[in-house]
Amino acid sequence: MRLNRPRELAEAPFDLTPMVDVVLLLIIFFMLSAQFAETFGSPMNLPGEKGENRAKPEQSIVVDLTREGIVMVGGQQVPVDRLALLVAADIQSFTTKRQTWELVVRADRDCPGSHLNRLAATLAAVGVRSWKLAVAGEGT
Amino acid sequence: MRFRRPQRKGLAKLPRLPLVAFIDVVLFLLLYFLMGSQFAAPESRLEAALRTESKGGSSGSDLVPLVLRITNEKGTVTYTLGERVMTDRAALSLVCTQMPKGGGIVVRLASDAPVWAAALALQVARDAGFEKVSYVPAS
Repeated sequence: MRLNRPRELAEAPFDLTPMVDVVLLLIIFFMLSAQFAETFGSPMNLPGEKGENRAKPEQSIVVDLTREGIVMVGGQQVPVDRLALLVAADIQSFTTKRQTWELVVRADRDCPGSHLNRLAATLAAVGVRSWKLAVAGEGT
Repeated sequence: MRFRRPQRKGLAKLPRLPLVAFIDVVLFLLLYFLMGSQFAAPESRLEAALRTESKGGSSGSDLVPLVLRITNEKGTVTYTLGERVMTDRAALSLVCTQMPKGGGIVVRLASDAPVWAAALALQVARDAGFEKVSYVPAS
């Protein structure tokens, strides 16, 4: 019995160049448009203002303030009295290292002023003389 | 005279590139950036000095800062600057541009007024040309 020897199948010609072009283009697009979160703050409904362009300091202390008045740092709830200790320690550390720093408050746009005032008073008490209110760009 | 016949470029042997591994890496990177990117609106900042009630307006300057009070009157946010009372951005902006800027401006937010009103006031003050913008937490 004679069996046919299996013939080697010829590979279909597939032009990879345009595919690689498109994929690389997509990679570059996503690389440039991607914004990896600068902060660890949770998504927040920030006030819609355009803000201002200022030089960014070396270090940032980011404090989130929810609509219910919950203070969060690094995604974790922090009591106000403990926040004062944390901020004071950070400021001390930055001052020792001679680093420039900013304190950013990411407050919910509908958060009542009482919560913001309580936070501001706490920050002022530990020596914060300037702060920045995070806003979400114009038209929101 | 004999010339060498030029070799046709198309027939020249090209070094083989391991495309499979290359495409693997490229697709992996593509997936990484697809999943890792956040198409959120970029955040911006509004800077304000932070002062307490006890420090008052004495900052080494003879000029007295303007005080902008933000209150919530039955659901309507009201901005009061001296004797002028405004309820919208345009009016507040107009008044701020007419005011002297030397002493700066102090923003005070009432307990029941929302944060967006404070942000609006800080933005309007900056846009109006105030260099010294402060926030004083109302007690």
